[in-house]
Amino acid sequence: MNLENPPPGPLEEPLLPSDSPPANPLLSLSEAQKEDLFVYLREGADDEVIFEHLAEYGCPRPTRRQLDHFFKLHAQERWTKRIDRAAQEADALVTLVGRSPGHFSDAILAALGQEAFRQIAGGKVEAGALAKYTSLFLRAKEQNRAERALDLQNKRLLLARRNATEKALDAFARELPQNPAALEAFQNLKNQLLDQTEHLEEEPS
Amino acid sequence: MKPTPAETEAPYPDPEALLQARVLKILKPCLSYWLDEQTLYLTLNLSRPAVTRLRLETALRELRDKAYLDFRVDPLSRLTEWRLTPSGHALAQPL
Repeated sequence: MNLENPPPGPLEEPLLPSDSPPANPLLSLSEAQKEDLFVYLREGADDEVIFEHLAEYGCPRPTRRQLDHFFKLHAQERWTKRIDRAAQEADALVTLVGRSPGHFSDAILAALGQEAFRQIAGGKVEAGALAKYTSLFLRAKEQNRAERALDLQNKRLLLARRNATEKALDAFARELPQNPAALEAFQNLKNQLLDQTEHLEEEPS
Repeated sequence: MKPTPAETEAPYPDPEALLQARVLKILKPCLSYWLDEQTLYLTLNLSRPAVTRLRLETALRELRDKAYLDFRVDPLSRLTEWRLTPSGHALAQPL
């Protein structure tokens, strides 16, 4: 065979032997039901539990061989789909992060995409879960940024108040020599403060 | 009637070229991302005919020599990773 001119037909033989069970009823389940059954089988659920679930779906009781057949077929399909979709999912994740507020360098985005691809293609994480974690991370980052902005705003407000108070006191100090009433009020205030200080000093410790 | 030995032979006369085509087919949807060799090996062995490490390495080396594949060793995981070059993508298009 010449690689440049591949032969017609599939490049690989199916996983299952040709004598695989005919008309496996499990293959007629809906995609959601198949996924549900696959999880039960993968987690090692008891056969009776699986049969009860299948009865709820209106599926006839399968043989052990049919269950094995279904498991192999579905596992292979999942794996193949995962590799086929890993690049798309990684690209989507990079786009999601790239569009988020704040700047991420191209190198960081590329590294994130490669790591996402590796995790999904290697079957270590489901694509949906990765997107969920990223969304949570971005939300937490956004919240953190908002909190820091609020903190900064509060600090600016306090500084502005302090500046305004200082200005008012300076203006008051300038007025004092020309305004006897203000001077008297200032002296009273000063005496009061001194009295208070003396009383504080007299209080037993 | 029993099948003759000729009838049970693999449908492809060149199993090594077939393996190379299977590698290209797996790497095609990975686009510009690097796929590690272990995942590639595992994926190849989900379906028959089975592939040994040695055969895979030979196939990868040949494809790399023809500039259809590019490889690197990931600095963090130390895994060997592969991806298609532009000419590899063009070759894998009909697969």
